[in-house]
Amino acid sequence: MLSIFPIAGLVGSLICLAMLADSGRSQAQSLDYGAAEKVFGEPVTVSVTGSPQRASDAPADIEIETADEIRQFGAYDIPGALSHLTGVDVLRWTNDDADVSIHGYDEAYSPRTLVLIDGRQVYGDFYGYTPWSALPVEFGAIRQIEVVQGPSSALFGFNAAGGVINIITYDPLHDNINTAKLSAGTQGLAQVSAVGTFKLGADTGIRVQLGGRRDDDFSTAIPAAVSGSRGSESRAAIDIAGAMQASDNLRFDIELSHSAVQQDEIPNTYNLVNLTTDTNSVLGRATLDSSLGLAQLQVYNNWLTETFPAQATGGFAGKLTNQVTVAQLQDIFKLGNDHTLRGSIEYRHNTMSTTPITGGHVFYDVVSGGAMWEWKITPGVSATNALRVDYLMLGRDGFLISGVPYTNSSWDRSLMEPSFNSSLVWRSDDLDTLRLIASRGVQLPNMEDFGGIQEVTSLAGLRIALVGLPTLGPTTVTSFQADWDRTIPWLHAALHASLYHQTTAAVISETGQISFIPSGILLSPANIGDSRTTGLDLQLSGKFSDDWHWSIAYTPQIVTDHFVAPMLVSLGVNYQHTTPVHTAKASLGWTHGNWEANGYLRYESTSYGLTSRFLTGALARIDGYIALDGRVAYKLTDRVTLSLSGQNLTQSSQRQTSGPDVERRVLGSASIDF
Amino acid sequence: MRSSSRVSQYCNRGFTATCTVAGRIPRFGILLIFAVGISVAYRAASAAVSENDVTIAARALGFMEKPLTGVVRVGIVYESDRPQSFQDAASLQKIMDRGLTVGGLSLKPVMVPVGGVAGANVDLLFLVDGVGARASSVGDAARARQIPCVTLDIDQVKNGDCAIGIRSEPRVEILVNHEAASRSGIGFAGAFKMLITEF
Repeated sequence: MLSIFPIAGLVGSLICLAMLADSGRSQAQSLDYGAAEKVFGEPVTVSVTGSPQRASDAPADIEIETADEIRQFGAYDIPGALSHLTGVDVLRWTNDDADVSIHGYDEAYSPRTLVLIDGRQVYGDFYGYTPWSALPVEFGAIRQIEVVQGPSSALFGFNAAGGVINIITYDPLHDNINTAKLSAGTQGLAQVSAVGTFKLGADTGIRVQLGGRRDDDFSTAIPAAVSGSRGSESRAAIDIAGAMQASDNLRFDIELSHSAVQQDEIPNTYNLVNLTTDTNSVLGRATLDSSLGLAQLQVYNNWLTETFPAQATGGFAGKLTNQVTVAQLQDIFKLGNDHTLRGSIEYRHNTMSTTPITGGHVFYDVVSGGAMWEWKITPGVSATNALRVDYLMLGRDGFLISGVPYTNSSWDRSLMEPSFNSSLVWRSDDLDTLRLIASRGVQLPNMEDFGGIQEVTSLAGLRIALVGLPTLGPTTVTSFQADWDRTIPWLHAALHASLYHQTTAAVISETGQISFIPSGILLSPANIGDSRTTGLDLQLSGKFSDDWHWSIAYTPQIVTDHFVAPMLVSLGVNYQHTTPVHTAKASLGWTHGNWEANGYLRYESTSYGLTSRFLTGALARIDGYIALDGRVAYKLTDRVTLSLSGQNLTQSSQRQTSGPDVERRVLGSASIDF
Repeated sequence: MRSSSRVSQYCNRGFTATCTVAGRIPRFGILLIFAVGISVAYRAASAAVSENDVTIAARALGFMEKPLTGVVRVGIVYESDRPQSFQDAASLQKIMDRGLTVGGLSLKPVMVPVGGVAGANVDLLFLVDGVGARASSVGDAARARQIPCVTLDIDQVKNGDCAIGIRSEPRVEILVNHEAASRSGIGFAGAFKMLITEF
């Protein structure tokens, strides 16, 4: 159970800070990120060091997708909007189910990328994935999407192993956003989204988001190696956020959200199932600007329930329930003029009830401490170092099936994992910036791996038991990266080159180990070995005349796996063959008067996709393909915009994954600002 | 958009030497060159005020702990003995005379010769280039009236006669003389201070 003492301690700390603040500086205000962007002419982010930074100052490979760019993509969901970014991989399994990964390693229920909304984790710990459709956020509420490419565990902790996607929304206090969008399209798509902000006096603001969608899945054949069946698809989400400037230096935020989704998915069992996912969250945040720095206390709770039919597991239907409680306290302050420091402590409690055999609970508590130091050595050279240590205490209680070589006390273990981010940024002249980055990220086994799935089944009369593996270790990602940014004035363009090498150690396979026990077979996850990758992101983007903008990008990437399974059933992972060696992306955009037109090309070379974890682990060949997305829009009045957009336009259907072929989708939309 | 695509480098032409050799010399050398570099670079950056400069300045002032609101009388301080200084001031006045409203501030220009700055009834001082050593009276006035002083003449920020310096090209920079700002009763929101350069 969650102890109230850590939270009480954090609240007490903040009150002490407030009291100290009263004796010191008395006037301050929270940062209006939109206004700051207007001052500096570029987005501001906190996703790299925790401290507010201009995007061009951030000591990491960060790509920021602005609200304008999101609109121009014409996508109907967030993975679609991310698919055009260099270094980002998207697997579109069904019309509404997709997985997103950074620098390759994408797979069903991809676990390597930590996704947050305004700093609140929306990553599903129980399966180690992101339920994108269930995120309670509408496009109209998004100010920008920040994509940090490379491990960021030193700031965000576990699961920011391959990168971070932080979705930043408009501020209820500072922004006035009132917009609605209606869309209709192929595959029976009907989608509505609305965002409104309301001011209660000068110091209080409320923002409401509502979203709904109904559509059909692709009608393309379900590959035999995947199997499964389809069902209906719908999404409903609501989010209410409130902010109050309690005094000149103290601000409170509260946010409540709910989402309910039913859709076809390809989970990490690699078969097609119709799942329902429900999420709820409550968040409270206090921000204090004092003479001791910028302190923030954030406490939130996420509830996530997934209900799945029998074919999802090959035998049983069930409901997964996961609850995570997080309390974070941080303080950011400047020491002199050249040093910025951040200290943080965090407490996290995560629990999952066992399924389909109920009565047991797997849980862990994590206590973390971190520090960041940014040193402006000269006006052109800065060094940033961040270190974090996470201490996890695992446990289990309740019913445990008989005949397995464990008792609940087998889960009584702890592990301590350090993570770091170090970078050196050198702006050598007006045109060039070089970054050297080293980092270590940690990916925790998901709750299912730790024993959230408790099952007994049989195969040919042989009893097969699953209770997770209490001794499973985390996966770590060590990354070295060299970036070069160059502005090319004569071409009105900018070049970005990023060379990276990553070693992923102790890769987890969820079916990597089979043990013979007196009662039959014990099927367990396992750490099966290492994987290494080297890649290069090359991107050139620019403008010509007043109306046109363009970009081209190419990413060659080589992945080499070194896996050894204790008992070979199916490794369930095969990054070497499932990560495309060549990826290229290009875009062309035109804006003139009330018209806007954009096109996006994406090429992926031949690769393979997994089809089943439990049988042969067979790979399905996916031939190289080119996909085209586009959008044309006309601004009818100052408040009304009509648009026509489409995805995968080159063919009526196209194989992009080991799942069903994706279909062309075309949709028309009307956006109304009021 | 990748952050790099909007990067205009901090190291402008005056900083090039500093940035290039920084990795090869000891820290005291870096500091020495830094000091010289600031002087050279920011002097080179001095230029006539554009509407963009004024807009950036007005938006930045919105992050003050005690932000200005409504109609703001902007005292444009110039050296009447120097034609270029007067011309810069007149250009600035013309920009504001057209009616400049930024982030809720309505800027109204008031021409103030540096000799008369002590008695000027204004809410904000905007110091143009060319005032030279007489700028110390501007600093005195800002301290006495507890009002902000903004300039593109970074030398005046360095020597403490004006608290806030603005650069818009090749990359927006906000530079604040911490001591001068403090003496004038000016402070910025904590988060905004992470985005600016203080010295």
